[in-house]
Amino acid sequence: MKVSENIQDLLHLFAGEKIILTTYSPLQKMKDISLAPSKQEYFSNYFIRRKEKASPDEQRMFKAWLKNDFYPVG
Amino acid sequence: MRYKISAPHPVNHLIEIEMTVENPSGAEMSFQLPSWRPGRYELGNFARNVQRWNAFDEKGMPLPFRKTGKDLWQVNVNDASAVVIRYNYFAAQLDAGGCWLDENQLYINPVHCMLYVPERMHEACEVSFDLPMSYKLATSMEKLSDHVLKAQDYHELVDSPVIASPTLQHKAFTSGSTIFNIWFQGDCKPDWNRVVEDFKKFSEEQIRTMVDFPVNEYHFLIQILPFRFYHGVEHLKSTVLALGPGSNLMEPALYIDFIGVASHELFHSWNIKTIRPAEMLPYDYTRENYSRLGFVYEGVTTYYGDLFLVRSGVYSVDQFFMEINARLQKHFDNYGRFNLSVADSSFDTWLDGYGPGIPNRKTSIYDEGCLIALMTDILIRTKSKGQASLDEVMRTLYRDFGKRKIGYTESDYLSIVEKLSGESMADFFMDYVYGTEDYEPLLSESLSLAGCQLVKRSSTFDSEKYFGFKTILSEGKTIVKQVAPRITGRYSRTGQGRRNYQCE
Repeated sequence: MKVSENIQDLLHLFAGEKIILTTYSPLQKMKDISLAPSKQEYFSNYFIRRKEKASPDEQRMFKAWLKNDFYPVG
Repeated sequence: MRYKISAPHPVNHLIEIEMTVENPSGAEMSFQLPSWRPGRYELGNFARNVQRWNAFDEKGMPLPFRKTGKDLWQVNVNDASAVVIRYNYFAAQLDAGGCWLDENQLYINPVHCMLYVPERMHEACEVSFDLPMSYKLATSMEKLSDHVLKAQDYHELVDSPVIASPTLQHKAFTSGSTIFNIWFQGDCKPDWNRVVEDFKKFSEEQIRTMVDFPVNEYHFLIQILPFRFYHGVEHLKSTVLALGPGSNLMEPALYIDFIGVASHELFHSWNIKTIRPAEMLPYDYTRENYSRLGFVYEGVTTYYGDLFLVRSGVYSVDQFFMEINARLQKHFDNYGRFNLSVADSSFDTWLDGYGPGIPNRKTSIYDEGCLIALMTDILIRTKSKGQASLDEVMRTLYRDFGKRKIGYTESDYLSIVEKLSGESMADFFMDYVYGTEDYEPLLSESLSLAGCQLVKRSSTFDSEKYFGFKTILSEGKTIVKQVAPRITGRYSRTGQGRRNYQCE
């Protein structure tokens, strides 16, 4: 199977399986790379959001910090 | 010290500079060009842009000279009553910290191209420009006439960029006792009402927080480029911002960047230009000025640049969170966070601070520094039961060190934070500033105290989530851009109850 712009599709299709990719190295040699999925997750996405419910102390801290009244997410 | 600047052939980008030093003492005199510029903590080696260099006496007779360093010249003065150095400088770097000459403008950052005599840096400097009369000068230096400027000493001269052009756009506003000037050079149509209103809001918020402004006049010098660009450099009385494309200036994406970098650079007037690490006071322009305090002078500034915008109502809370989210994502995507602390990465800016560097080696004084500032702020607020915050830390540094022209040390900063917290913060500094402890638990805890959540979601890309590599598509090819290192010892605890990580 040729991989060009579809590597995510390939990895998704064979999720959970070991995959051998034949690649072209910067030194113009063919090289086999073995990919095995990890149980550990990498490159997660992180972001901040306001809580759905915040205690009065937390709301006070929010206002003192940002000089904006707290309003819940949603 | 007198400098004369001319640009007889703008098309070749060569600035002609003549420096005159009266009453030389001794048989020899040294002339130094800086090897770096404050604001970018790596060597710039500006002498590489000097094409021609000659020395003369007051009658125009050549004086012998030789180079004794990569940016140091030694002149045999003989019996001259004045030494005149004539040299040129290739000005072809149009960003917020460079020099540029073309048919439309002369733009100089004097730190690149103005020589100094080491033992006479304290002397006043007069700079005259031989330019068409239609050219106006935008700068924070004192104007003796339309095209003649004066700096109190060499330090002020090299902290005062100049844009000379017939097409400058200008407005000014006043906050308290300070006059703020906004200058645009380049093709753009600013919505002046909105720009002045927003600049006034964040400037006044900064001054309210810090009590007063270090100087009585300030200049935002904005270079507008026709292509996508984003850069800012701080000075005590001014900043240069380089942004593009000019046609998009008032579009939301670029305008947010514009306001963000302007607020960041303005806060530098306090934090680094006035509140200065001891190891950089005064600056030594000849070599590396190592400091582990980048998490304060860039990290705290990055944090406050955006914080002042939300506090003043220029940014919404959601916009502020988007700016912090960008720092968070860069931090968590960077496995160098387990390898080199932000303090040590500050020291190493002189090595590789402004490029991606080798994989998973280092952290950033901007990104990790910003997150450290955020956690420090909330920890102080919590420990002091709302009686203090990072605001008081910065005010204390300004009052007790900056205004007195005393440099602060790492232990000074820790002491102030601890005094205002009312508790020891040694573990926090050891683990997160000088160590490589995982930020995630403490960030989550800190944000929770302020009514917020740190949300973690799995990547939607299988290559990232399960296989540990990021890719991009370019010209029909899939390119691997980043590979996560194998991490051993995860969550194993050592004697101090800390987590032990090791990158391989």
